[in-house]
Amino acid sequence: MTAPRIVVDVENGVAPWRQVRDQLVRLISGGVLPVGARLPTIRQLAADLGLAAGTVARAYRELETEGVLTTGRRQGTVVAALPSHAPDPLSAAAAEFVAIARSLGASEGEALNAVRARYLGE
Amino acid sequence: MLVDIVIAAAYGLVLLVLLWPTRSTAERLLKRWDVPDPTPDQFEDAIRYLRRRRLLYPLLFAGLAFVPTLRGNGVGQIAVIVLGGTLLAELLALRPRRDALRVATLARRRLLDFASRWVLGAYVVIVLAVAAYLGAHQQWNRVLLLGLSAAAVGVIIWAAVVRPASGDQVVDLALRTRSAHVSAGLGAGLAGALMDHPIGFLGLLAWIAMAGTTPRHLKIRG
Repeated sequence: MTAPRIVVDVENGVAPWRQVRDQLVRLISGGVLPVGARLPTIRQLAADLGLAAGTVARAYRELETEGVLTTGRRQGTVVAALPSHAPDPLSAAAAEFVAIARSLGASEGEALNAVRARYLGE
Repeated sequence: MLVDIVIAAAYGLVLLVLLWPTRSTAERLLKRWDVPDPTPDQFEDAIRYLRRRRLLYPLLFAGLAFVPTLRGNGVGQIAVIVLGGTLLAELLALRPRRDALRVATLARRRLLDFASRWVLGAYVVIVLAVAAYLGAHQQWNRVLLLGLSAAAVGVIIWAAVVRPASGDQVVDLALRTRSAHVSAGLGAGLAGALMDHPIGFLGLLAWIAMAGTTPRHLKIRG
C-alpha cells in the first residue's frame, strides 16, 4: 500500500496553495486521510512539489483556521477533524475554470458563452 | 602532474564502462533494496539513480590525483571516489523541480523512517574511535581527512532526507535508504583505511555490512 498523493499543476491557472488545500480536503473528506493522520512537514511537501514553503504553509494555515488540521510541536501537523462541508466537485471545477478564464482575460459573459457553446455542442 | 590526471581519468573511465548500469544491474539493486518485482518505470528510476552517480567517476578519479594522502591507497581511494560521486549526485538531486505537473506523497519522511539506526549508530562509533586513535598518534592530517569524510557522509544523509521525491515512491524510498547506508559504509571503510593499522580492515567489513543492511520494512510506506 502506498501513501496518498497530491498533484499540483502550476500551469492550470489555480493558485498552487488552493490546489494543495482542496486536495487535502478531498482526501480527508473521503477518509483517505483519517483523523489523527500525520502530514508531511511544510518544508518536505514544498520541496517535493517544487513550491515555496510559504505556499504550502498557506494551505496548512487555511485548514488549521477551519479546524481541519492542527499543528503541535511534537506531533507535527495532523488531521484534527473532518471538514464541515465537503467541497462540491462541480463548484471546485467551476472555480478552476473561472481562474483559467480570468488568466486568459475573458469576461464573465465570454466565459459563460464558452461553457454554453460546449454544452450545446456535446 | 598532467599525465597523472589523464591516467587517473582514464582509470575512472574504464571503471565507468565496466560498471555502466543496465537493466540487470538495476534489477539486482532493486531486489537488494526491498523492491522484489520491479516494473519498467522502477527499472528506469534505478538506472537513472546509478548513472547519475557513476558518470562522475572519471571526474572524481582525476580530482583525486590532487590528494596525495589517498593516492595509491586501495580501499581509501575507492571509498573517496564512490563517496564523492554519491555526494555530488545527492547535491544535484536537491535542485527544485521545474516541470509543470508535480506529485508529492503525503507521508512524513524522517531519517529513521527509512534508514537503520544500527547502521547510523555504528558509523558514529567508528568515526569517534578512529578519531581518538588518530588523535592519540597525533596524525592531524588524517584527522582532518576523517572530519571531511564525516562531513560528506553527513551531507549525503541530510540530502537523502530532504531532496525532492522523484519517480516511483517505493523506489524513491529504497534509493534514499541505499544512499544513507552506503554512504555510512563508505565513511566507515574510509575511516578504517585512514588508520593504517591491521585493525583498520574492520572498516572494510563495516562498509560491506552497512551497504548490505536493508530495513525489513520501510515504515514510511504506510
